Amino acid sequence: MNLIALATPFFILAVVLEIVLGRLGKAKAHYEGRDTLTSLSMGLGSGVAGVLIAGVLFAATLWTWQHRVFTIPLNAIWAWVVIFFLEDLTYYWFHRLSHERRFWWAAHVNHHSSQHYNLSTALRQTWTGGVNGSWLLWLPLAFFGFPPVMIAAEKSISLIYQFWIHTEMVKRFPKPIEAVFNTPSHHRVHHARNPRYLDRNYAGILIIWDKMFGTFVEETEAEPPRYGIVKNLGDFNLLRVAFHEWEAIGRDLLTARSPREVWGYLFGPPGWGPDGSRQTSDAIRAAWLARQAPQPSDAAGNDSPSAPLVASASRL
Amino acid sequence: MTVAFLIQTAVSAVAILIMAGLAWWLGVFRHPKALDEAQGRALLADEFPEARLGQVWLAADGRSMLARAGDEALILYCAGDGHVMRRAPWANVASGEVRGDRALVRLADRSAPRAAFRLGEGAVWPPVLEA
Repeated sequence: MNLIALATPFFILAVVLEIVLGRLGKAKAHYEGRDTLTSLSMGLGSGVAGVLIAGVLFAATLWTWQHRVFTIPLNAIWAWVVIFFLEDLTYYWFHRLSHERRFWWAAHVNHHSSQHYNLSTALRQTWTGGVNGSWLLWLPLAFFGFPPVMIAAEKSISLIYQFWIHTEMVKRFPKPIEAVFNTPSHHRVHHARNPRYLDRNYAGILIIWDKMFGTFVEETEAEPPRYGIVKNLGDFNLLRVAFHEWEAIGRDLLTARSPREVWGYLFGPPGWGPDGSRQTSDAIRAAWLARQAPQPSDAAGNDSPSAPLVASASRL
Repeated sequence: MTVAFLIQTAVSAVAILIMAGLAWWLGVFRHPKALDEAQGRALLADEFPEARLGQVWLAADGRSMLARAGDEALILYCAGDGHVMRRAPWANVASGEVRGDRALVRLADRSAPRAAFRLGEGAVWPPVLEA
């Protein structure tokens, strides 16, 4: 049973509803024709690319499961509870890797390339996620003994959950929900290009992982998210959206002068360069924090709103 | 690939066209606003906080802007209702190609390979901006 296929009509209806409510002024939702077409086309292409890699992925998962350590029953409630947490933890690290290492960022960047944040953005999915091997991260679940169908179902549940959080219609949920779950507010932060928000909130369903591993940032009223990537794309060309970072990696590799540079261009953080002329997310954030630091004239005041930021800067 | 998959893909493509058309139609009364100098300056200052913005030049259609910071050009242009900003050596701007009423500047960035500037009547390229 393909849960994503079953959810597709819901996705379509939800996007249509958000467009209409936004246009009628009943909800906060900004759409732009070419941006929407690009997002939806990327989603369609991602489905096709997914089918091309599905056989390999299924065979690898099945082979791993055949060499499993334990046999976990498909119909045990405890097994579903355990895999819910383990799959969500796996997703957190996959997602973090997809932002913090360029080889995986190249496949994921397209999802962040819209300057809008709406339900169509959720469907702006990768075409190249299958080729960078990130799916290997889920194989330990099969090796542990979770049946492949269980893993596939849990991955689908996570993907479906993450669809609806790509919206500005929902401001905040009650605190207990915001404390535990990934919500539209938390995920708006994730899609923002403001230095304060860069590379934060990697959660799939549960935001607790970000809190545990130190990557959580709360959305603030004072600084609304500005969506997109550090260097926004110059047009809506689908091939550019899908492949621009791969092309950039290829060009950089042609200029590499040492194994260190090859490694850095491939597996360094996005923005890495041998001469420091480019900026990684950490460098952008550090520069921003330095700009927030109080000037000598107001350093005496302890009630400066910048004070916590300075403390953060010293930790970078 | 099964027939079912092909049908599903085709139906999805039709749904996409309908949704994009709906977005386009509903947004048709909201043409992206042209930039004004203050807005452009604010965007550039936010993007390049360390740069000292001097004079700026606004394209005739208000869809792109150019500023000079020393030997560098700070470029801003609209993509849909979003904004794209890049640095480039001023020499690249100076050697930009004029085609009809547009000047095209090549950028060393595959994610935004060139910027276009609409020229007003009698405008010269490159614009004269103090370094």
